[in-house]
Amino acid sequence: MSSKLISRLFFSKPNMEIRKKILLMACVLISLFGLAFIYFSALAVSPSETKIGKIDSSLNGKLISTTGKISYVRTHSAGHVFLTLTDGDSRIEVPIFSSLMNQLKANGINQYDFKKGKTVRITGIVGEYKGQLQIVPRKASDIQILNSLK
Amino acid sequence: MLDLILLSILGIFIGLFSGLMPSMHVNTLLPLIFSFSFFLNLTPYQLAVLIVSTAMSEIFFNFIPSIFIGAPEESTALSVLPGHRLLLEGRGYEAIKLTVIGGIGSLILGLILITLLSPYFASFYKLTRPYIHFAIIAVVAFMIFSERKPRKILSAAFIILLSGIFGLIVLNSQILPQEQLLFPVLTGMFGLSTLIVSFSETSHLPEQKEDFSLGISTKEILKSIFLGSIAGIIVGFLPAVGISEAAVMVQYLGGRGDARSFLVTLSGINVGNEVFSLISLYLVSNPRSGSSVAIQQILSELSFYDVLLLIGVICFVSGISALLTLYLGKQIPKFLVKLDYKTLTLSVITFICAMVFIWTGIVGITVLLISTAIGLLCAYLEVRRSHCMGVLLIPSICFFAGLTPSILSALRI
Repeated sequence: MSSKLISRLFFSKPNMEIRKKILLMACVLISLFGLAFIYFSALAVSPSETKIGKIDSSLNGKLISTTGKISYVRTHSAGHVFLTLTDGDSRIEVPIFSSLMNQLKANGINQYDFKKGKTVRITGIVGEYKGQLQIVPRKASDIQILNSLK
Repeated sequence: MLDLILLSILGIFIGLFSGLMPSMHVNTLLPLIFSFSFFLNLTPYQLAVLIVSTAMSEIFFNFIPSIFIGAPEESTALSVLPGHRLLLEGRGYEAIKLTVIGGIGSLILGLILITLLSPYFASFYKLTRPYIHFAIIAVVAFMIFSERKPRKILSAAFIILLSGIFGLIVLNSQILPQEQLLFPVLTGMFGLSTLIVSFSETSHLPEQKEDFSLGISTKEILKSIFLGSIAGIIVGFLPAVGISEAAVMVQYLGGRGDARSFLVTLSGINVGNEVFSLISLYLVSNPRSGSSVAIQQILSELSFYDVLLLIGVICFVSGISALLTLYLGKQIPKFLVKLDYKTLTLSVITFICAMVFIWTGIVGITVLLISTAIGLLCAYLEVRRSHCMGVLLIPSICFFAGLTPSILSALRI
């Protein structure tokens, strides 16, 4: 009964062409306004500050910020840099892929700036690779080198 | 051994549930399967078997709602038209039978092809990876220009651009956790929008014929299986390029205009793609589907014997799922003709919205609304819905071209 009523209201044949145009416009408007709405909502999301020891698989896929000391640096022939950050006994892997390294280089930071003992603040998405937790930074401002090596 | 068989059978039942439930997908169920495995204290191998059997069986069962109800997954979205064409002629069971033949044929041929080509995949992957974004750009260009008429070409370009910008913002934003994002996006674009159109156009399920013969020659079936297997492997190789794009290309290049051969090819691509995605973990150490990502997380490194075990599970599960799909393909129409088709479609629409709300909340419903509007635009502009795959294709092009960090910096998200 209800489905017949909805069908008559929206899809009765004499008004089909006019309704098609109205629906087309409605779809364009919903798409564009929706896109703007999602964009401004995305701007409002800020990462939660989390200690390395508190990062676990329940945070998978979430955006967080953490601070730690570089305990290991490995570079890959393709230009990727892999950091291990530690905070006390806890540690986490941070892959910096070549595309992001290129952006960092444009901002004056190269792979040699990531030295053992330096403190860095990383913002990124928590993920898991081959059973190991990692934070994947996405853009240059996600990586901040906080102090110089003494 | 017995535990693995029992888990495979359990996977078939989970696949049956997710395959028959419109908008459900194995990726959506993965968090539940993980929690379930913890509860049952499953070993990583047992969990891998459960995931593989769910993913494989779902491919076969998925064609039942996409042919009989018109609520497809993204990967079977193109089957709506040819499948519905046969359904309206009262030959829905023949459509189901063709997808089963395509799936089983592609499984056998796909395994042979992958075995023969396996020594070359790793080097081919390394060689092509720096240029993969050019291949995806070529696919996008092909998709746009295959619309032929200037008005449709412009409409297709608009849809790909709109869904691409939507993908760039949504997939990189944190409005929802990453693993939940694709559910409302793909459900809206390919599921809900199809159902709304179906609700406005289809009034009843026509009486189905008792004649179960196939209206296609054996030569044509073999040709379609061959094309489906090859395209499935190529899709498995190219990130973000989906089943729908491959099916359009095969249809265009190979002249697969006939609904029957198209269904065989489409099913072949689905199975070939899933098999290759799972084996690619061993061949190129790179997952190519939601289920293979999960298996990589569980097993880390796959040995040759693990691959043999997974192939065994794939064959066992596919055989049983094929028989079950054929049985259900005969029984379900008998039940469906008694129902009011519009009420059924409306119930499915309500169910999908409820599922999206439960899984992803009000933010997910907002994303669903926008993606449904983009999906409906395709229908109103009379272009293929597969252009909505711009939502994954454009972000992938940016990723492989190394542009994502700069775009995110510019967008400040």
